[in-house]
Amino acid sequence: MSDQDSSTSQQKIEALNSEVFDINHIPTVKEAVEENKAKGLDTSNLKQWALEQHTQAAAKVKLEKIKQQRLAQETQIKGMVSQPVPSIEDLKSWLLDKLHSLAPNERAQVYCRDFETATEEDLIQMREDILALEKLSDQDSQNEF
Amino acid sequence: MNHKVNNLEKFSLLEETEIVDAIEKAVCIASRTIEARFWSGNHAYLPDGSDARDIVHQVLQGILEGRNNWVEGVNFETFLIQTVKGYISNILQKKEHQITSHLEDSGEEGVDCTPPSDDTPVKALNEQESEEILLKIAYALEGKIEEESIINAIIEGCLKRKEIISHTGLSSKQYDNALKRLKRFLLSEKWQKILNFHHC
Repeated sequence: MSDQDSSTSQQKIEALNSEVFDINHIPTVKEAVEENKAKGLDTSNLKQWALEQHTQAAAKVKLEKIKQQRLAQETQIKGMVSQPVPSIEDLKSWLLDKLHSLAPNERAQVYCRDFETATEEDLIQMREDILALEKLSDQDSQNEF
Repeated sequence: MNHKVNNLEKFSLLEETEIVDAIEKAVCIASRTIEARFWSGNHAYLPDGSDARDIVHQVLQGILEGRNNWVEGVNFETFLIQTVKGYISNILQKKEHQITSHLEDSGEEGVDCTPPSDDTPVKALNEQESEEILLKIAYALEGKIEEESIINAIIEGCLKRKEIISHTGLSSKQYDNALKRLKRFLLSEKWQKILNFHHC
């Protein structure tokens, strides 16, 4: 009772509420069920609604993920469409030339060996990367002048 | 990621029993919180005909619509109960403010059910009103020794269960039984008449 003198009437009302109505004590599920039942608060409709929302939430999350994937793919496709895509053989040959011209050293050779076993999808991505690198390289050259 | 997607994703990962149990507890807490406001005259601020279930329903809807940020690491039950408590306080606060504005400006009065932005407890009664109410209770309980001794202990500044029990000299069982009677009294028409009479 050390703070008795400094307690305000509002704090006393809060203390009364806390003691009489037990608002700061979280009941167990059993206590809650019994208390709600005693007060005539049938929660079955609310719980049913919440469980329907639960099912819908899972579907909404799945849809949102699919939407994000689709948007990412669309962005990727838009980037690819802006450049005409050559045949795989032409692409391989083009990539080799570019690799040699951009970095004609051992690292480029290692990269070339990896790329020989790359899938078509990887090749397209590599082409995008090389074009971006080339663009950067051109910009650097212009800056030097 | 926005609040809606974040909340929906977390909600979708819950077990059904977690949802059902949390709702049962949240309704119970909401009901207790409403009762705790009701006895001091705040029931006038709640939307007509709404009860604890409506409050929990609206709060859940708000959570699913992303109006409250479900912070990482907070479990569903805690988040729901905290939001329900804050929501009730917010309704009372907003409604109280609206009624005051209505009286001052003759403006229209409506129920704003916007969920709370935080969990700040609202002191619906001011200091003077609180003091008057405590004295009215003590006066109304005159002759009911155990209940009166509890109110007097609180008036004298005992704010915790242990302090009140020690101050009143009641046993735990006597104390709990007296609290039940006190609760019945505070929710009774008799007390509401005393309160309303004095308010007029």
